[in-house]
Amino acid sequence: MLRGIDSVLEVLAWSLVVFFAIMLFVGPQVIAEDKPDAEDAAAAAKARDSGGGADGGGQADQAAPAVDGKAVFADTCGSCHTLSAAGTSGTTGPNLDDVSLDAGAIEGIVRDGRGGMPALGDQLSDDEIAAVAEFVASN
Amino acid sequence: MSVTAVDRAPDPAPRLLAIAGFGAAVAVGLGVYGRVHDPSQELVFTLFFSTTISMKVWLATVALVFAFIQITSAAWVYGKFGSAPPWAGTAHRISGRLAFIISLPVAYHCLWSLGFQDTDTRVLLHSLLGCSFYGAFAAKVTIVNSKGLPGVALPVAGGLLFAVLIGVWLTSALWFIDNGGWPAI
Repeated sequence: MLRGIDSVLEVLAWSLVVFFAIMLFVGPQVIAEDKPDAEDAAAAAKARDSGGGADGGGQADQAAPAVDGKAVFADTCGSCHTLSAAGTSGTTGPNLDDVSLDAGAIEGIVRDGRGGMPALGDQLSDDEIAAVAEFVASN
Repeated sequence: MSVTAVDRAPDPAPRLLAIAGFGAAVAVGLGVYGRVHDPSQELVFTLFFSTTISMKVWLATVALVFAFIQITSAAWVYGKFGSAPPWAGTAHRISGRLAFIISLPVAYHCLWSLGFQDTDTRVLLHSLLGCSFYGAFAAKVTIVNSKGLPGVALPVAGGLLFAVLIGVWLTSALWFIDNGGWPAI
């Protein structure tokens, strides 16, 4: 019985080693190829929503702001908040890995502050606030 | 009576050095990968946990528990707690395989999503120990499957592996628990 379990685990262990080793090289490429498409789609949708209209549809990609929510978070929020996706480990504020809020709620907190957190509405642009809120909400 | 060259056991030092070099190469390889590749900063999976961090803390802790079983069962097999039953060796191997399997998703997230970082002493230490863990594991497995090595080689390799895993856990899961408590599963 134990020997059978041991044999199964041996095969499983080495299979997982091979799987994760492959994913170390394939995984980043898959995401790197997918991520820009997703960002482009989101940016295009945002441009359309913000009044691009029939005439502006073709210029959506050019008009979309290229704000990196992760970079904004790392620069502005990371010293106080832990968020794995941003590689930050601040402990002054709540651990955002354990917080689940939608982008709208986060945007309001970033803009107006809450508890001990200062309002950042004057410090960040609207695009930066939207980008960082979307980044936190999606991670 | 003279001892001929045929009668002498081969010097194990070169093989031990080669095994240590192999383990070091694995550790350095992982470190180089973590350093040079562009960290995705994406959360890949949570398995059945609520968040990736929760998954990492809990799986690392469970791996540590299996590591304690490893070290205890090893001592038993070596007769430190009296005569070991026949199944002790198999149980030892099973606990080791489980600890290793459980560590893989955690390590994958660390390497792929965060990479090798040195933002502060703890993070640097964790990066170094994390890479060293798999180097020590590779060396230990090689020793297990080698013949003619000194009897002390395996306990030393196992002890080193255990110590490194303790360090990995202290610089990650314990730090997290100390700062924010046990994460919800």
